[in-house]
Amino acid sequence: MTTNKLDSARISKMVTDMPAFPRSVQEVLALTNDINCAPRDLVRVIEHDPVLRGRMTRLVNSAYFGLSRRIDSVKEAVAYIGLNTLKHLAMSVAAVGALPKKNKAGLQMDEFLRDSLAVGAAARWLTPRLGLGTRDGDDLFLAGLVHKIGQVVLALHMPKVFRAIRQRSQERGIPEHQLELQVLGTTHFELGALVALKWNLQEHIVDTVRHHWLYSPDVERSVWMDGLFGATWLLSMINGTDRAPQSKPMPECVVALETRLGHPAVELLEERQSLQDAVKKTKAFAEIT
Amino acid sequence: MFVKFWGTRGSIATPGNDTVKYGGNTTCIQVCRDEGPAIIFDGGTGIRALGLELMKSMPVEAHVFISHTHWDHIQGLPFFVPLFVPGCKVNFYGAFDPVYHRGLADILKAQMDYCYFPVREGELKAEISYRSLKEGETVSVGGARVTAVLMNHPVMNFGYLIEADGQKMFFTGDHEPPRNIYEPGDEEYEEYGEILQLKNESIYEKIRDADMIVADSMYTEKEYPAKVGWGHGTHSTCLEMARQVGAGSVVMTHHEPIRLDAELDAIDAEFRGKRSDDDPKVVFAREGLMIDVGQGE
Repeated sequence: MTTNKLDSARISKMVTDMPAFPRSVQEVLALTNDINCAPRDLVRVIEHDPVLRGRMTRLVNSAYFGLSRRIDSVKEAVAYIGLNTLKHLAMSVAAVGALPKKNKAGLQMDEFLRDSLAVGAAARWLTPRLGLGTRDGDDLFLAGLVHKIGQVVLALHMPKVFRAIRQRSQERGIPEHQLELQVLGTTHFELGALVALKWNLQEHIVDTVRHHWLYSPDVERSVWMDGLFGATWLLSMINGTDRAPQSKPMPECVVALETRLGHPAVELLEERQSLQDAVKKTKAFAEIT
Repeated sequence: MFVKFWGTRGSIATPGNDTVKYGGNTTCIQVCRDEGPAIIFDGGTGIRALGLELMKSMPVEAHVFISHTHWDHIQGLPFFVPLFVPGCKVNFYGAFDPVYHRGLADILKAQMDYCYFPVREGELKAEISYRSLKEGETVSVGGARVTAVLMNHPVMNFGYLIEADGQKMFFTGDHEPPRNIYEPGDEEYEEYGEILQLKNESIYEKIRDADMIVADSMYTEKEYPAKVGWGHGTHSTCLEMARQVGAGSVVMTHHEPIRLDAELDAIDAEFRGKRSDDDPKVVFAREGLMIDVGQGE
Protein backbone atom coordinates (compact mmCIF):
# COMPACT_ATOMS: atom_id res chain seq x y z
CA MET A 1 0.00 0.00 0.00
CA THR A 2 1.22 3.47 -0.76
CA THR A 3 1.57 5.83 2.11
CA ASN A 4 -0.47 8.97 2.29
CA LYS A 5 0.67 10.59 5.49
CA LEU A 6 -1.71 13.14 6.90
CA ASP A 7 -0.33 16.43 8.13
CA SER A 8 -1.99 18.36 10.90
CA ALA A 9 -3.64 20.84 8.52
CA ARG A 10 -5.29 18.03 6.55
CA ILE A 11 -6.43 16.29 9.70
CA SER A 12 -7.83 19.53 11.01
CA LYS A 13 -9.79 20.12 7.82
CA MET A 14 -11.14 16.58 7.77
CA VAL A 15 -12.34 16.90 11.34
CA THR A 16 -13.76 20.36 10.76
CA ASP A 17 -15.70 19.10 7.77
CA MET A 18 -17.44 16.46 9.85
CA PRO A 19 -21.12 17.19 10.45
CA ALA A 20 -21.64 19.25 13.55
CA PHE A 21 -23.07 17.64 16.61
CA PRO A 22 -26.58 19.08 16.73
CA ARG A 23 -26.65 22.05 19.08
CA SER A 24 -29.63 20.66 20.95
CA VAL A 25 -27.73 17.42 21.55
CA GLN A 26 -24.77 19.32 22.93
CA GLU A 27 -27.10 21.22 25.21
CA VAL A 28 -28.80 18.03 26.39
CA LEU A 29 -25.44 16.44 27.14
CA ALA A 30 -24.29 19.52 29.04
CA LEU A 31 -27.51 19.67 31.03
CA THR A 32 -27.60 15.98 31.80
CA ASN A 33 -24.07 16.18 33.13
CA ASP A 34 -25.10 18.91 35.54
CA ILE A 35 -26.68 17.39 38.63
CA ASN A 36 -28.28 20.74 39.38
CA CYS A 37 -29.68 21.37 35.91
CA ALA A 38 -32.98 23.23 35.96
CA PRO A 39 -35.77 20.94 34.70
CA ARG A 40 -37.31 23.70 32.65
CA ASP A 41 -34.01 24.21 30.77
CA LEU A 42 -34.01 20.57 29.72
CA VAL A 43 -37.65 20.79 28.69
CA ARG A 44 -36.91 23.92 26.65
CA VAL A 45 -34.02 22.33 24.76
CA ILE A 46 -35.97 19.18 23.91
CA GLU A 47 -39.12 21.07 22.97
CA HIS A 48 -37.23 23.36 20.62
CA ASP A 49 -35.75 20.50 18.60
CA PRO A 50 -38.58 18.85 16.68
CA VAL A 51 -36.55 15.72 15.92
CA LEU A 52 -35.46 15.19 19.50
CA ARG A 53 -38.92 16.03 20.79
CA GLY A 54 -40.46 13.47 18.44
CA ARG A 55 -38.00 10.79 19.46
CA MET A 56 -38.60 11.40 23.15
CA THR A 57 -42.38 11.32 22.99
CA ARG A 58 -42.25 8.23 20.75
CA LEU A 59 -40.09 6.49 23.32
CA VAL A 60 -42.19 7.48 26.32
CA ASN A 61 -45.31 6.23 24.54
CA SER A 62 -43.67 2.95 23.54
CA ALA A 63 -44.11 -0.43 25.14
CA TYR A 64 -40.91 0.26 27.07
CA PHE A 65 -42.90 2.34 29.51
CA GLY A 66 -46.29 0.78 29.04
CA LEU A 67 -47.96 3.89 30.39
CA SER A 68 -51.69 3.75 30.67
CA ARG A 69 -52.20 7.14 29.01
CA ARG A 70 -50.72 8.87 26.01
CA ILE A 71 -48.01 11.47 26.60
CA ASP A 72 -48.19 14.31 24.09
CA SER A 73 -45.58 16.75 25.29
CA VAL A 74 -42.19 16.89 26.93
CA LYS A 75 -43.73 18.67 29.91
CA GLU A 76 -46.13 15.79 30.41
CA ALA A 77 -43.24 13.36 30.13
CA VAL A 78 -41.43 15.14 32.98
CA ALA A 79 -44.55 15.08 35.12
CA TYR A 80 -45.28 11.40 34.50
CA ILE A 81 -41.94 9.64 34.35
CA GLY A 82 -39.95 12.16 36.38
CA LEU A 83 -37.09 14.44 35.55
CA ASN A 84 -34.30 12.02 36.38
CA THR A 85 -35.56 9.26 34.13
CA LEU A 86 -36.18 11.77 31.35
CA LYS A 87 -32.66 13.16 31.71
CA HIS A 88 -31.04 9.77 31.25
CA LEU A 89 -33.28 8.89 28.34
CA ALA A 90 -32.67 12.25 26.68
CA MET A 91 -28.96 11.67 26.85
CA SER A 92 -29.23 8.29 25.14
CA VAL A 93 -31.76 9.45 22.57
CA ALA A 94 -29.77 12.57 21.75
CA ALA A 95 -26.49 10.71 21.40
CA VAL A 96 -27.92 7.97 19.17
CA GLY A 97 -29.60 10.59 16.99
CA ALA A 98 -26.39 12.56 16.57
CA LEU A 99 -24.48 9.85 14.74
CA PRO A 100 -24.26 10.51 10.99
CA LYS A 101 -26.66 8.39 8.98
CA LYS A 102 -25.06 8.59 5.53
CA ASN A 103 -21.68 8.60 3.86
CA LYS A 104 -20.51 8.27 0.31
CA ALA A 105 -17.69 5.87 0.81
CA GLY A 106 -18.59 2.30 1.37
CA LEU A 107 -18.90 2.37 5.14
CA GLN A 108 -22.20 0.66 5.83
CA MET A 109 -23.73 3.17 8.18
CA ASP A 110 -26.53 0.90 9.38
CA GLU A 111 -23.92 -1.66 10.34
CA PHE A 112 -21.72 1.05 11.83
CA LEU A 113 -24.61 2.29 13.95
CA ARG A 114 -25.49 -1.23 15.08
CA ASP A 115 -21.88 -1.92 16.04
CA SER A 116 -21.59 1.38 17.87
CA LEU A 117 -24.83 0.75 19.73
CA ALA A 118 -23.66 -2.72 20.67
CA VAL A 119 -20.41 -1.40 22.12
CA GLY A 120 -22.27 1.41 23.91
CA ALA A 121 -24.71 -1.11 25.37
CA ALA A 122 -21.92 -3.47 26.41
CA ALA A 123 -20.02 -0.60 28.02
CA ARG A 124 -23.13 0.39 29.95
CA TRP A 125 -23.69 -3.24 30.93
CA LEU A 126 -20.19 -3.30 32.38
CA THR A 127 -20.75 -0.16 34.43
CA PRO A 128 -22.00 -1.73 37.68
CA ARG A 129 -19.40 -4.48 37.33
CA LEU A 130 -16.75 -1.79 37.41
CA GLY A 131 -18.31 -0.27 40.50
CA LEU A 132 -19.58 2.75 38.60
CA GLY A 133 -22.94 4.50 38.83
CA THR A 134 -25.60 5.44 36.32
CA ARG A 135 -23.99 8.75 35.35
CA ASP A 136 -20.74 7.01 34.49
CA GLY A 137 -22.78 4.45 32.57
CA ASP A 138 -24.15 7.25 30.43
CA ASP A 139 -20.62 8.45 29.73
CA LEU A 140 -19.49 4.95 28.82
CA PHE A 141 -22.50 4.51 26.57
CA LEU A 142 -21.64 7.75 24.79
CA ALA A 143 -17.98 6.75 24.48
CA GLY A 144 -19.10 3.45 22.95
CA LEU A 145 -21.33 5.21 20.48
CA VAL A 146 -18.57 7.47 19.18
CA HIS A 147 -15.55 5.23 19.64
CA LYS A 148 -15.22 4.47 15.94
CA ILE A 149 -16.30 7.83 14.61
CA GLY A 150 -12.76 8.26 13.30
CA GLN A 151 -13.56 5.60 10.72
CA VAL A 152 -16.37 7.78 9.44
CA VAL A 153 -13.87 10.62 8.99
CA LEU A 154 -11.70 8.38 6.86
CA ALA A 155 -14.62 6.95 4.91
CA LEU A 156 -15.87 10.43 4.10
CA HIS A 157 -12.57 12.06 3.19
CA MET A 158 -10.33 9.25 1.98
CA PRO A 159 -12.72 6.58 0.73
CA LYS A 160 -10.18 4.74 -1.42
CA VAL A 161 -7.59 4.59 1.33
CA PHE A 162 -10.25 3.59 3.83
CA ARG A 163 -11.42 0.71 1.63
CA ALA A 164 -7.88 -0.41 0.90
CA ILE A 165 -6.97 -0.50 4.59
CA ARG A 166 -10.10 -2.42 5.46
CA GLN A 167 -9.49 -4.93 2.69
CA ARG A 168 -5.86 -5.41 3.65
CA SER A 169 -6.82 -5.79 7.28
CA GLN A 170 -9.36 -8.49 6.47
CA GLU A 171 -7.04 -10.33 4.06
CA ARG A 172 -4.03 -10.39 6.30
CA GLY A 173 -5.53 -10.14 9.75
CA ILE A 174 -3.59 -7.02 10.51
CA PRO A 175 -5.36 -4.60 12.83
CA GLU A 176 -6.74 -1.61 10.98
CA HIS A 177 -5.16 0.86 13.36
CA GLN A 178 -1.72 -0.57 12.61
CA LEU A 179 -2.26 -0.18 8.88
CA GLU A 180 -3.63 3.32 9.41
CA LEU A 181 -0.50 4.23 11.29
CA GLN A 182 1.70 2.89 8.51
CA VAL A 183 -0.23 4.53 5.70
CA LEU A 184 -1.60 7.70 7.23
CA GLY A 185 0.61 8.32 10.21
CA THR A 186 -2.41 8.41 12.48
CA THR A 187 -5.24 6.12 13.57
CA HIS A 188 -9.00 6.24 13.56
CA PHE A 189 -8.76 6.32 17.37
CA GLU A 190 -6.89 9.63 17.15
CA LEU A 191 -9.22 11.01 14.51
CA GLY A 192 -12.21 9.93 16.60
CA ALA A 193 -10.80 11.73 19.61
CA LEU A 194 -10.44 14.90 17.55
CA VAL A 195 -14.05 14.63 16.40
CA ALA A 196 -15.16 14.10 19.99
CA LEU A 197 -13.18 17.19 20.92
CA LYS A 198 -14.82 19.19 18.15
CA TRP A 199 -18.19 18.02 19.44
CA ASN A 200 -17.31 19.37 22.88
CA LEU A 201 -17.65 15.98 24.51
CA GLN A 202 -16.10 15.80 27.94
CA GLU A 203 -12.35 15.42 28.19
CA HIS A 204 -12.46 11.95 29.73
CA ILE A 205 -14.63 10.72 26.85
CA VAL A 206 -12.19 12.20 24.33
CA ASP A 207 -9.30 10.48 26.10
CA THR A 208 -11.23 7.22 26.25
CA VAL A 209 -11.88 7.22 22.51
CA ARG A 210 -8.19 7.91 21.92
CA HIS A 211 -6.62 5.41 24.32
CA HIS A 212 -9.07 2.64 25.19
CA TRP A 213 -7.64 -0.01 22.87
CA LEU A 214 -3.97 0.95 22.86
CA TYR A 215 -1.91 0.76 26.01
CA SER A 216 0.77 3.34 26.55
CA PRO A 217 2.97 3.60 29.66
CA ASP A 218 2.65 7.37 29.35
CA VAL A 219 -1.12 7.33 29.76
CA GLU A 220 -2.78 6.53 33.06
CA ARG A 221 -5.62 4.11 32.41
CA SER A 222 -8.98 5.51 33.45
CA VAL A 223 -11.98 3.42 34.42
CA TRP A 224 -13.72 4.66 31.26
CA MET A 225 -10.83 3.45 29.08
CA ASP A 226 -10.95 0.06 30.79
CA GLY A 227 -14.72 -0.04 30.46
CA LEU A 228 -14.74 0.74 26.76
CA PHE A 229 -11.89 -1.66 26.17
CA GLY A 230 -13.77 -4.34 28.07
CA ALA A 231 -16.93 -3.76 26.06
CA THR A 232 -15.10 -4.00 22.75
CA TRP A 233 -13.17 -7.05 23.83
CA LEU A 234 -16.27 -8.82 25.19
CA LEU A 235 -18.18 -8.34 21.98
CA SER A 236 -15.25 -9.57 19.91
CA MET A 237 -15.10 -12.67 22.11
CA ILE A 238 -18.81 -13.34 21.84
CA ASN A 239 -19.23 -12.52 18.16
CA GLY A 240 -16.02 -14.23 17.15
CA THR A 241 -15.05 -11.32 14.94
CA ASP A 242 -14.48 -7.68 15.39
CA ARG A 243 -13.71 -5.97 12.15
CA ALA A 244 -11.88 -3.01 13.55
CA PRO A 245 -9.21 -4.33 15.83
CA GLN A 246 -8.92 -7.84 14.37
CA SER A 247 -6.19 -8.23 16.85
CA LYS A 248 -5.46 -9.74 20.15
CA PRO A 249 -5.98 -7.18 22.86
CA MET A 250 -2.86 -5.73 24.38
CA PRO A 251 -2.06 -7.72 27.55
CA GLU A 252 -1.61 -4.51 29.54
CA CYS A 253 -5.19 -3.48 28.69
CA VAL A 254 -6.49 -6.85 29.86
CA VAL A 255 -4.55 -6.59 33.11
CA ALA A 256 -5.92 -3.10 33.72
CA LEU A 257 -9.47 -4.32 33.14
CA GLU A 258 -9.02 -7.36 35.38
CA THR A 259 -7.61 -5.18 38.14
CA ARG A 260 -10.76 -3.07 37.99
CA LEU A 261 -13.02 -6.10 37.93
CA GLY A 262 -11.20 -7.99 40.65
CA HIS A 263 -11.41 -11.21 38.67
CA PRO A 264 -10.34 -12.67 35.32
CA ALA A 265 -12.08 -10.94 32.43
CA VAL A 266 -13.14 -14.26 30.93
CA GLU A 267 -15.50 -14.75 33.87
CA LEU A 268 -17.64 -12.04 32.30
CA LEU A 269 -18.41 -14.49 29.52
CA GLU A 270 -20.40 -16.55 32.00
CA GLU A 271 -22.93 -13.73 31.81
CA ARG A 272 -22.99 -13.82 28.03
CA GLN A 273 -26.78 -14.12 27.87
CA SER A 274 -27.30 -11.09 30.08
CA LEU A 275 -24.92 -9.05 27.92
CA GLN A 276 -26.54 -10.17 24.70
CA ASP A 277 -29.94 -9.27 26.12
CA ALA A 278 -28.65 -5.81 27.04
CA VAL A 279 -27.30 -5.28 23.53
CA LYS A 280 -30.54 -6.50 21.98
CA LYS A 281 -32.62 -4.19 24.14
CA THR A 282 -30.46 -1.20 23.31
CA LYS A 283 -30.84 -1.87 19.60
CA ALA A 284 -34.59 -2.13 20.06
CA PHE A 285 -34.50 1.14 21.98
CA ALA A 286 -32.67 2.82 19.11
CA GLU A 287 -35.22 1.53 16.63
CA ILE A 288 -38.04 3.08 18.64
CA THR A 289 -36.35 6.44 18.75
CA MET B 1 -56.50 -7.36 56.53
CA PHE B 2 -53.53 -6.33 58.66
CA VAL B 3 -50.15 -4.95 57.75
CA LYS B 4 -47.00 -5.61 59.72
CA PHE B 5 -43.90 -3.47 59.50
CA TRP B 6 -40.59 -5.32 59.35
CA GLY B 7 -38.57 -2.33 58.17
CA THR B 8 -39.44 1.36 58.44
CA ARG B 9 -36.20 3.18 57.73
CA GLY B 10 -35.28 5.01 54.53
CA SER B 11 -31.99 4.97 52.62
CA ILE B 12 -29.86 2.86 54.96
CA ALA B 13 -30.24 0.63 57.98
CA THR B 14 -29.67 2.47 61.26
CA PRO B 15 -29.17 0.11 64.18
CA GLY B 16 -28.47 1.65 67.56
CA ASN B 17 -29.85 2.59 70.92
CA ASP B 18 -31.57 5.70 69.58
CA THR B 19 -33.53 3.90 66.86
CA VAL B 20 -34.78 0.91 68.82
CA LYS B 21 -38.38 2.10 69.12
CA TYR B 22 -39.11 2.87 65.46
CA GLY B 23 -36.53 0.45 64.14
CA GLY B 24 -33.39 0.52 62.06
CA ASN B 25 -34.22 -1.90 59.23
CA THR B 26 -35.08 -0.59 55.79
CA THR B 27 -38.44 -0.95 54.11
CA CYS B 28 -40.35 -4.20 54.28
CA ILE B 29 -44.09 -4.51 54.84
CA GLN B 30 -46.07 -7.72 55.17
CA VAL B 31 -49.75 -7.95 54.35
CA CYS B 32 -51.38 -10.36 56.77
CA ARG B 33 -54.65 -12.10 55.89
CA ASP B 34 -56.46 -15.09 57.29
CA GLU B 35 -55.55 -17.14 54.27
CA GLY B 36 -53.56 -17.02 51.07
CA PRO B 37 -49.86 -16.76 50.32
CA ALA B 38 -47.59 -14.15 51.86
CA ILE B 39 -47.75 -10.73 50.24
CA ILE B 40 -44.77 -8.49 50.89
CA PHE B 41 -43.97 -4.96 49.81
CA ASP B 42 -40.25 -4.33 49.32
CA GLY B 43 -37.22 -6.34 50.31
CA GLY B 44 -35.23 -3.95 52.48
CA THR B 45 -33.20 -5.33 55.36
CA GLY B 46 -36.39 -5.97 57.31
CA ILE B 47 -37.22 -8.91 55.05
CA ARG B 48 -34.53 -11.04 56.69
CA ALA B 49 -36.49 -11.42 59.93
CA LEU B 50 -39.74 -11.83 58.01
CA GLY B 51 -38.19 -14.70 56.08
CA LEU B 52 -37.34 -16.48 59.31
CA GLU B 53 -40.90 -16.00 60.55
CA LEU B 54 -42.37 -17.37 57.31
CA MET B 55 -40.15 -20.42 57.52
CA LYS B 56 -42.16 -21.58 60.53
CA SER B 57 -44.90 -22.67 58.11
CA MET B 58 -43.40 -24.61 55.27
CA PRO B 59 -43.58 -24.56 52.35
CA VAL B 60 -43.46 -20.80 51.88
CA GLU B 61 -45.20 -19.14 48.98
CA ALA B 62 -44.33 -15.43 48.91
CA HIS B 63 -45.27 -12.69 46.46
CA VAL B 64 -42.81 -9.81 46.81
CA PHE B 65 -43.77 -6.52 45.19
CA ILE B 66 -40.74 -4.27 44.77
CA SER B 67 -41.57 -0.55 44.58
CA HIS B 68 -38.20 0.22 42.99
CA THR B 69 -34.73 -1.20 43.08
CA HIS B 70 -32.77 1.31 45.11
CA TRP B 71 -30.62 -0.46 47.68
CA ASP B 72 -32.78 0.21 50.72
CA HIS B 73 -35.70 -1.59 49.08
CA ILE B 74 -33.87 -4.73 47.94
CA GLN B 75 -30.86 -5.15 50.18
CA GLY B 76 -32.43 -7.77 52.42
CA LEU B 77 -33.33 -10.12 49.58
CA PRO B 78 -30.09 -12.15 49.61
CA PHE B 79 -30.89 -12.92 53.26
CA PHE B 80 -34.51 -13.94 52.67
CA VAL B 81 -34.20 -17.57 53.73
CA PRO B 82 -37.15 -19.00 51.70
CA LEU B 83 -35.11 -18.26 48.56
CA PHE B 84 -32.60 -20.92 49.60
CA VAL B 85 -35.04 -23.67 50.43
CA PRO B 86 -36.32 -26.30 47.95
CA GLY B 87 -40.09 -26.38 47.80
CA CYS B 88 -40.53 -22.67 48.54
CA LYS B 89 -41.94 -20.38 45.86
CA VAL B 90 -41.02 -16.71 45.63
CA ASN B 91 -42.54 -14.48 42.96
CA PHE B 92 -41.12 -10.99 42.42
CA TYR B 93 -42.96 -8.12 40.80
CA GLY B 94 -41.71 -4.63 39.93
CA ALA B 95 -41.02 -2.02 37.30
CA PHE B 96 -38.91 -2.30 34.15
CA ASP B 97 -35.92 0.05 34.11
CA PRO B 98 -36.21 2.03 30.87
CA VAL B 99 -32.87 3.77 31.36
CA TYR B 100 -30.76 0.64 31.59
CA HIS B 101 -33.26 -1.40 29.55
CA ARG B 102 -33.36 -4.00 32.27
CA GLY B 103 -36.20 -6.00 33.69
CA LEU B 104 -36.63 -6.84 37.33
CA ALA B 105 -34.90 -10.20 36.94
CA ASP B 106 -31.69 -8.66 35.59
CA ILE B 107 -31.54 -6.08 38.36
CA LEU B 108 -32.18 -8.45 41.22
CA LYS B 109 -29.87 -11.11 39.84
CA ALA B 110 -27.09 -8.53 39.52
CA GLN B 111 -27.38 -7.89 43.26
CA MET B 112 -26.26 -11.47 43.78
CA ASP B 113 -23.32 -11.33 41.41
CA TYR B 114 -20.39 -13.14 42.90
CA CYS B 115 -18.51 -9.93 43.69
CA TYR B 116 -21.36 -8.80 45.96
CA PHE B 117 -22.60 -12.03 47.51
CA PRO B 118 -21.18 -15.54 47.87
CA VAL B 119 -24.25 -17.37 46.58
CA ARG B 120 -25.30 -16.67 43.03
CA GLU B 121 -28.91 -16.29 42.06
CA GLY B 122 -28.67 -19.41 39.93
CA GLU B 123 -27.74 -21.44 43.00
CA LEU B 124 -30.90 -20.57 44.94
CA LYS B 125 -33.11 -23.56 45.55
CA ALA B 126 -36.57 -22.04 45.70
CA GLU B 127 -38.82 -21.80 42.68
CA ILE B 128 -38.38 -18.16 41.71
CA SER B 129 -40.19 -16.05 39.14
CA TYR B 130 -39.88 -12.42 38.08
CA ARG B 131 -42.49 -10.27 36.45
CA SER B 132 -41.98 -6.71 35.23
CA LEU B 133 -45.27 -4.90 35.62
CA LYS B 134 -46.74 -2.07 33.60
CA GLU B 135 -48.41 0.96 35.10
CA GLY B 136 -51.96 0.11 36.11
CA GLU B 137 -51.44 -3.64 35.79
CA THR B 138 -53.23 -5.74 38.38
CA VAL B 139 -51.99 -9.04 39.77
CA SER B 140 -54.28 -11.47 41.60
CA VAL B 141 -52.75 -13.24 44.56
CA GLY B 142 -54.86 -15.59 46.63
CA GLY B 143 -58.00 -13.52 46.21
CA ALA B 144 -56.22 -10.19 46.72
CA ARG B 145 -55.77 -7.75 43.85
CA VAL B 146 -52.53 -5.77 43.72
CA THR B 147 -52.32 -2.86 41.26
CA ALA B 148 -49.17 -0.98 40.24
CA VAL B 149 -49.44 2.81 40.40
CA LEU B 150 -46.66 4.95 38.90
CA MET B 151 -45.38 7.43 41.47
CA ASN B 152 -42.62 10.07 41.34
CA HIS B 153 -39.04 9.12 42.25
CA PRO B 154 -35.66 9.37 40.49
CA VAL B 155 -36.20 5.84 39.14
CA MET B 156 -39.42 4.19 38.04
CA ASN B 157 -41.26 3.55 41.29
CA PHE B 158 -44.53 1.73 41.67
CA GLY B 159 -46.84 2.29 44.58
CA TYR B 160 -49.08 -0.72 45.17
CA LEU B 161 -52.78 -0.73 45.90
CA ILE B 162 -53.98 -3.93 47.51
CA GLU B 163 -57.67 -4.72 47.57
CA ALA B 164 -58.66 -7.71 49.66
CA ASP B 165 -61.34 -8.79 52.10
CA GLY B 166 -63.40 -5.71 51.26
CA GLN B 167 -60.59 -3.31 52.18
CA LYS B 168 -58.05 -1.15 50.34
CA MET B 169 -54.53 -0.35 51.40
CA PHE B 170 -52.05 1.68 49.39
CA PHE B 171 -48.27 1.71 49.79
CA THR B 172 -46.53 4.59 48.00
CA GLY B 173 -43.02 3.16 47.84
CA ASP B 174 -40.78 6.21 47.57
CA HIS B 175 -42.68 9.24 46.38
CA GLU B 176 -42.17 12.97 46.16
CA PRO B 177 -45.25 14.86 45.04
CA PRO B 178 -44.15 16.32 41.70
CA ARG B 179 -43.55 20.07 41.77
CA ASN B 180 -44.03 22.76 39.22
CA ILE B 181 -40.75 23.18 37.36
CA TYR B 182 -41.68 26.76 36.46
CA GLU B 183 -41.89 29.81 38.68
CA PRO B 184 -45.08 31.79 39.24
CA GLY B 185 -45.09 34.42 36.53
CA ASP B 186 -43.47 32.12 33.94
CA GLU B 187 -45.54 31.70 30.82
CA GLU B 188 -45.67 27.93 31.29
CA TYR B 189 -46.46 27.93 35.01
CA GLU B 190 -50.21 27.43 34.73
CA GLU B 191 -49.97 24.91 31.88
CA TYR B 192 -47.54 22.79 33.89
CA GLY B 193 -49.71 23.16 36.97
CA GLU B 194 -52.60 21.65 35.05
CA ILE B 195 -50.44 18.75 33.91
CA LEU B 196 -49.43 18.10 37.52
CA GLN B 197 -53.03 18.20 38.60
CA LEU B 198 -53.84 15.54 36.02
CA LYS B 199 -50.85 13.46 37.12
CA ASN B 200 -51.89 13.64 40.77
CA GLU B 201 -55.48 12.89 39.87
CA SER B 202 -54.31 9.80 37.96
CA ILE B 203 -52.92 8.54 41.28
CA TYR B 204 -55.78 9.73 43.45
CA GLU B 205 -58.49 8.14 41.35
CA LYS B 206 -56.91 4.73 41.88
CA ILE B 207 -56.53 5.04 45.63
CA ARG B 208 -59.63 7.06 46.50
CA ASP B 209 -61.31 5.98 49.72
CA ALA B 210 -58.44 3.71 50.65
CA ASP B 211 -58.80 2.47 54.18
CA MET B 212 -55.13 3.06 54.78
CA ILE B 213 -52.18 4.71 53.04
CA VAL B 214 -48.62 3.79 53.96
CA ALA B 215 -46.53 6.68 52.74
CA ASP B 216 -42.97 7.86 52.30
CA SER B 217 -42.64 10.67 54.83
CA MET B 218 -38.90 10.96 54.95
CA TYR B 219 -38.55 14.66 55.64
CA THR B 220 -39.98 17.38 57.79
CA GLU B 221 -41.25 20.52 56.14
CA LYS B 222 -38.20 22.32 57.45
CA GLU B 223 -35.79 19.82 55.87
CA TYR B 224 -37.54 19.55 52.53
CA PRO B 225 -36.27 22.71 50.74
CA ALA B 226 -32.75 21.27 50.83
CA LYS B 227 -34.00 17.92 49.48
CA VAL B 228 -36.16 18.94 46.55
CA GLY B 229 -35.91 16.42 43.74
CA TRP B 230 -34.54 13.66 45.95
CA GLY B 231 -37.76 11.75 45.51
CA HIS B 232 -39.32 11.71 48.97
CA GLY B 233 -42.31 13.22 50.66
CA THR B 234 -42.78 15.02 53.95
CA HIS B 235 -45.10 14.24 56.82
CA SER B 236 -47.34 17.06 55.63
CA THR B 237 -47.49 15.93 52.00
CA CYS B 238 -48.42 12.43 53.14
CA LEU B 239 -51.21 13.72 55.35
CA GLU B 240 -52.40 15.92 52.49
CA MET B 241 -52.51 12.96 50.10
CA ALA B 242 -54.54 10.98 52.62
CA ARG B 243 -56.92 13.92 53.01
CA GLN B 244 -57.29 14.35 49.25
CA VAL B 245 -58.38 10.76 48.71
CA GLY B 246 -60.45 10.44 51.87
CA ALA B 247 -58.28 7.73 53.38
CA GLY B 248 -59.16 6.37 56.80
CA SER B 249 -55.60 6.50 58.05
CA VAL B 250 -52.09 7.33 56.95
CA VAL B 251 -49.01 5.52 58.21
CA MET B 252 -45.81 7.53 58.02
CA THR B 253 -42.78 5.41 57.14
CA HIS B 254 -39.39 5.47 55.37
CA HIS B 255 -38.02 7.49 58.26
CA GLU B 256 -34.98 9.64 57.55
CA PRO B 257 -31.90 7.71 58.80
CA ILE B 258 -30.70 10.55 61.01
CA ARG B 259 -34.07 10.69 62.78
CA LEU B 260 -33.84 9.43 66.34
CA ASP B 261 -36.68 7.87 68.34
CA ALA B 262 -37.14 11.00 70.44
CA GLU B 263 -37.47 13.15 67.33
CA LEU B 264 -40.04 10.84 65.78
CA ASP B 265 -41.96 10.90 69.07
CA ALA B 266 -41.97 14.69 68.90
CA ILE B 267 -43.17 14.78 65.29
CA ASP B 268 -45.85 12.22 66.13
CA ALA B 269 -47.04 14.41 69.01
CA GLU B 270 -47.03 17.47 66.79
CA PHE B 271 -49.24 15.79 64.20
CA ARG B 272 -51.62 14.41 66.80
CA GLY B 273 -51.91 17.92 68.18
CA LYS B 274 -52.89 19.57 64.95
CA ARG B 275 -55.13 16.83 63.59
CA SER B 276 -58.76 17.80 63.11
CA ASP B 277 -61.67 15.43 63.63
CA ASP B 278 -62.14 15.03 59.88
CA ASP B 279 -58.54 14.13 59.27
CA PRO B 280 -57.32 10.60 58.69
CA LYS B 281 -55.73 8.88 61.64
CA VAL B 282 -51.98 9.37 61.67
CA VAL B 283 -49.68 6.57 62.71
CA PHE B 284 -45.88 6.52 62.72
CA ALA B 285 -44.64 3.13 61.56
CA ARG B 286 -42.31 1.25 63.82
CA GLU B 287 -40.71 -2.14 63.44
CA GLY B 288 -42.99 -4.94 64.63
CA LEU B 289 -46.11 -2.79 64.53
CA MET B 290 -49.16 -4.62 63.19
CA ILE B 291 -52.12 -2.51 62.14
CA ASP B 292 -55.68 -3.43 61.25
CA VAL B 293 -56.18 -1.78 57.85
CA GLY B 294 -59.84 -1.09 58.54
CA GLN B 295 -59.24 0.39 61.98
CA GLY B 296 -56.01 2.23 61.30
CA GLU B 297 -54.59 1.10 64.60
